Amino acid sequence: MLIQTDWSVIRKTKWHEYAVRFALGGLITAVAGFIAKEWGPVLGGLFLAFPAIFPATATLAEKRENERKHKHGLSGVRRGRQCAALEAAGTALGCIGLITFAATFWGLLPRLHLLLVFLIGIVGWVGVSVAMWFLRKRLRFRPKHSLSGARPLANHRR
Amino acid sequence: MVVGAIALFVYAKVVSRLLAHGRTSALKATVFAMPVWFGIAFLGWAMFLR
Repeated sequence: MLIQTDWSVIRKTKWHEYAVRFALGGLITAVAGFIAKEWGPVLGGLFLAFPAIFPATATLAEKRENERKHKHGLSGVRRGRQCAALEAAGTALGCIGLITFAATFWGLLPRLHLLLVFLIGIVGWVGVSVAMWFLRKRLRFRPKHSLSGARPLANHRR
Repeated sequence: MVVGAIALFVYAKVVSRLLAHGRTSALKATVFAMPVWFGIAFLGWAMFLR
Protein backbone atom coordinates (compact mmCIF):
# COMPACT_ATOMS: atom_id res chain seq x y z
CA MET A 1 0.00 0.00 0.00
CA LEU A 2 1.28 3.44 -0.90
CA ILE A 3 0.85 6.48 1.31
CA GLN A 4 -1.59 8.80 -0.47
CA THR A 5 -2.99 12.25 0.06
CA ASP A 6 -6.78 12.57 0.16
CA TRP A 7 -7.43 16.26 -0.62
CA SER A 8 -11.22 15.80 -0.36
CA VAL A 9 -10.84 15.70 3.44
CA ILE A 10 -10.00 19.44 3.36
CA ARG A 11 -13.44 20.18 1.90
CA LYS A 12 -15.20 17.74 4.26
CA THR A 13 -13.66 19.30 7.37
CA LYS A 14 -15.85 22.06 8.79
CA TRP A 15 -14.43 25.54 9.44
CA HIS A 16 -14.97 25.31 13.21
CA GLU A 17 -12.89 22.11 13.32
CA TYR A 18 -9.96 24.04 11.81
CA ALA A 19 -10.65 26.94 14.18
CA VAL A 20 -10.50 24.69 17.26
CA ARG A 21 -7.17 23.17 16.16
CA PHE A 22 -5.58 26.52 15.27
CA ALA A 23 -6.83 28.13 18.49
CA LEU A 24 -5.52 25.32 20.71
CA GLY A 25 -2.22 25.14 18.80
CA GLY A 26 -1.76 28.90 19.05
CA LEU A 27 -2.75 28.94 22.72
CA ILE A 28 -0.26 26.27 23.78
CA THR A 29 2.50 27.93 21.71
CA ALA A 30 1.83 31.18 23.57
CA VAL A 31 1.75 29.33 26.91
CA ALA A 32 5.07 27.60 26.08
CA GLY A 33 6.56 31.02 25.24
CA PHE A 34 5.31 32.45 28.54
CA ILE A 35 6.69 29.49 30.52
CA ALA A 36 10.05 29.83 28.71
CA LYS A 37 10.18 33.53 29.59
CA GLU A 38 9.25 32.99 33.24
CA TRP A 39 10.98 29.70 34.11
CA GLY A 40 13.55 29.19 31.34
CA PRO A 41 13.69 27.63 27.84
CA VAL A 42 14.11 24.04 29.09
CA LEU A 43 10.71 24.01 30.80
CA GLY A 44 9.21 25.99 27.90
CA GLY A 45 10.52 23.42 25.43
CA LEU A 46 8.85 20.67 27.41
CA PHE A 47 5.46 22.24 26.65
CA LEU A 48 6.14 22.42 22.89
CA ALA A 49 5.21 18.72 22.88
CA PHE A 50 2.11 19.18 25.06
CA PRO A 51 -0.95 17.28 23.70
CA ALA A 52 -3.01 20.38 22.86
CA ILE A 53 -4.28 19.70 19.33
CA PHE A 54 -4.55 15.93 19.63
CA PRO A 55 -7.55 15.74 22.05
CA ALA A 56 -9.57 18.03 19.74
CA THR A 57 -8.55 16.07 16.64
CA ALA A 58 -9.41 12.69 18.20
CA THR A 59 -12.76 13.96 19.52
CA LEU A 60 -13.69 15.47 16.15
CA ALA A 61 -12.66 12.30 14.30
CA GLU A 62 -14.83 10.21 16.64
CA LYS A 63 -17.78 12.58 16.16
CA ARG A 64 -17.45 12.58 12.36
CA GLU A 65 -17.38 8.78 12.12
CA ASN A 66 -20.29 8.58 14.55
CA GLU A 67 -22.38 10.95 12.41
CA ARG A 68 -21.50 9.13 9.20
CA LYS A 69 -22.77 5.82 10.63
CA HIS A 70 -25.89 7.50 12.04
CA LYS A 71 -26.82 8.68 8.53
CA HIS A 72 -27.09 5.01 7.53
CA GLY A 73 -29.15 4.20 10.62
CA LEU A 74 -26.29 2.46 12.42
CA SER A 75 -24.65 3.08 15.76
CA GLY A 76 -21.28 4.65 15.13
CA VAL A 77 -20.01 4.65 18.71
CA ARG A 78 -17.58 1.77 18.33
CA ARG A 79 -16.47 2.83 14.84
CA GLY A 80 -15.86 6.39 16.04
CA ARG A 81 -13.74 5.22 18.96
CA GLN A 82 -11.72 2.91 16.72
CA CYS A 83 -11.11 5.81 14.33
CA ALA A 84 -9.85 7.95 17.23
CA ALA A 85 -7.68 5.00 18.39
CA LEU A 86 -6.05 4.91 14.95
CA GLU A 87 -5.43 8.67 15.16
CA ALA A 88 -3.71 8.06 18.52
CA ALA A 89 -1.59 5.22 17.07
CA GLY A 90 -0.52 7.53 14.22
CA THR A 91 0.29 10.26 16.73
CA ALA A 92 2.55 7.84 18.63
CA LEU A 93 4.45 7.09 15.40
CA GLY A 94 4.71 10.81 14.66
CA CYS A 95 6.16 11.32 18.15
CA ILE A 96 9.22 9.27 17.20
CA GLY A 97 9.69 11.70 14.31
CA LEU A 98 9.20 14.59 16.73
CA ILE A 99 11.90 13.19 19.03
CA THR A 100 14.22 13.10 15.98
CA PHE A 101 13.30 16.71 15.13
CA ALA A 102 14.00 17.92 18.66
CA ALA A 103 17.25 15.91 18.93
CA THR A 104 18.42 17.42 15.61
CA PHE A 105 17.93 20.93 16.99
CA TRP A 106 19.59 20.01 20.26
CA GLY A 107 22.65 18.51 18.58
CA LEU A 108 23.18 20.76 15.55
CA LEU A 109 21.96 24.25 16.48
CA PRO A 110 25.10 25.52 18.20
CA ARG A 111 27.20 24.63 15.14
CA LEU A 112 24.96 25.25 12.08
CA HIS A 113 22.62 28.01 10.86
CA LEU A 114 19.05 27.96 12.19
CA LEU A 115 17.39 27.54 8.75
CA LEU A 116 19.69 24.65 7.82
CA VAL A 117 19.00 22.90 11.13
CA PHE A 118 15.25 23.47 10.62
CA LEU A 119 15.45 21.91 7.15
CA ILE A 120 17.41 18.88 8.41
CA GLY A 121 14.94 18.55 11.31
CA ILE A 122 11.90 18.59 9.01
CA VAL A 123 13.46 16.03 6.63
CA GLY A 124 14.38 13.90 9.65
CA TRP A 125 10.85 14.14 11.04
CA VAL A 126 9.24 13.07 7.74
CA GLY A 127 11.80 10.30 7.12
CA VAL A 128 11.59 8.77 10.58
CA SER A 129 7.77 9.05 10.79
CA VAL A 130 7.23 7.37 7.41
CA ALA A 131 9.87 4.73 8.24
CA MET A 132 8.08 3.99 11.53
CA TRP A 133 4.77 3.64 9.67
CA PHE A 134 6.29 1.11 7.24
CA LEU A 135 8.03 -0.75 10.09
CA ARG A 136 4.81 -1.01 12.10
CA LYS A 137 2.91 -2.21 9.04
CA ARG A 138 5.58 -4.81 8.28
CA LEU A 139 5.73 -6.14 11.84
CA ARG A 140 1.97 -6.11 12.31
CA PHE A 141 1.01 -7.90 9.11
CA ARG A 142 3.94 -10.29 8.71
CA PRO A 143 2.68 -13.81 7.87
CA LYS A 144 3.28 -16.42 10.59
CA HIS A 145 5.47 -18.64 8.40
CA SER A 146 8.05 -15.88 7.92
CA LEU A 147 8.43 -15.51 11.70
CA SER A 148 9.30 -19.17 12.16
CA GLY A 149 11.54 -19.25 9.11
CA ALA A 150 9.48 -21.96 7.39
CA ARG A 151 8.49 -21.58 3.75
CA PRO A 152 4.84 -21.14 2.80
CA LEU A 153 2.96 -24.30 1.82
CA ALA A 154 2.64 -23.21 -1.83
CA ASN A 155 6.45 -23.09 -2.21
CA HIS A 156 6.88 -26.62 -0.85
CA ARG A 157 4.67 -28.02 -3.59
CA ARG A 158 6.75 -26.52 -6.41
CA MET B 1 11.19 19.11 23.73
CA VAL B 2 12.79 15.63 23.46
CA VAL B 3 11.46 14.73 26.92
CA GLY B 4 8.05 16.25 26.09
CA ALA B 5 7.91 14.23 22.84
CA ILE B 6 8.72 11.00 24.74
CA ALA B 7 5.88 11.83 27.16
CA LEU B 8 3.59 12.53 24.19
CA PHE B 9 4.50 9.14 22.69
CA VAL B 10 3.51 7.31 25.89
CA TYR B 11 0.36 9.45 26.21
CA ALA B 12 -0.72 8.62 22.63
CA LYS B 13 -0.09 4.91 23.22
CA VAL B 14 -2.21 4.97 26.39
CA VAL B 15 -5.05 6.82 24.60
CA SER B 16 -4.85 4.40 21.67
CA ARG B 17 -5.16 1.40 24.03
CA LEU B 18 -8.09 2.96 25.92
CA LEU B 19 -9.98 3.73 22.71
CA ALA B 20 -9.20 0.45 20.97
CA HIS B 21 -11.29 -1.42 23.54
CA GLY B 22 -14.21 0.87 22.67
CA ARG B 23 -15.40 1.42 26.23
CA THR B 24 -14.26 5.02 26.62
CA SER B 25 -15.10 8.07 24.52
CA ALA B 26 -12.28 10.02 22.84
CA LEU B 27 -12.87 13.04 25.08
CA LYS B 28 -12.67 11.01 28.30
CA ALA B 29 -9.63 9.01 27.13
CA THR B 30 -7.67 12.10 26.07
CA VAL B 31 -8.50 14.01 29.27
CA PHE B 32 -7.99 11.12 31.73
CA ALA B 33 -4.64 10.23 30.12
CA MET B 34 -3.35 13.80 30.55
CA PRO B 35 -1.69 13.04 33.94
CA VAL B 36 0.41 10.44 32.08
CA TRP B 37 1.93 13.24 29.97
CA PHE B 38 2.49 15.49 32.98
CA GLY B 39 3.98 12.64 35.03
CA ILE B 40 6.48 11.48 32.42
CA ALA B 41 7.36 15.00 31.24
CA PHE B 42 8.08 16.33 34.74
CA LEU B 43 9.82 13.13 35.83
CA GLY B 44 12.12 13.41 32.79
CA TRP B 45 12.67 17.09 33.47
CA ALA B 46 13.51 16.44 37.14
CA MET B 47 15.84 13.55 36.30
CA PHE B 48 17.74 14.87 33.27
CA LEU B 49 17.14 18.58 32.74
CA ARG B 50 16.91 20.34 36.08
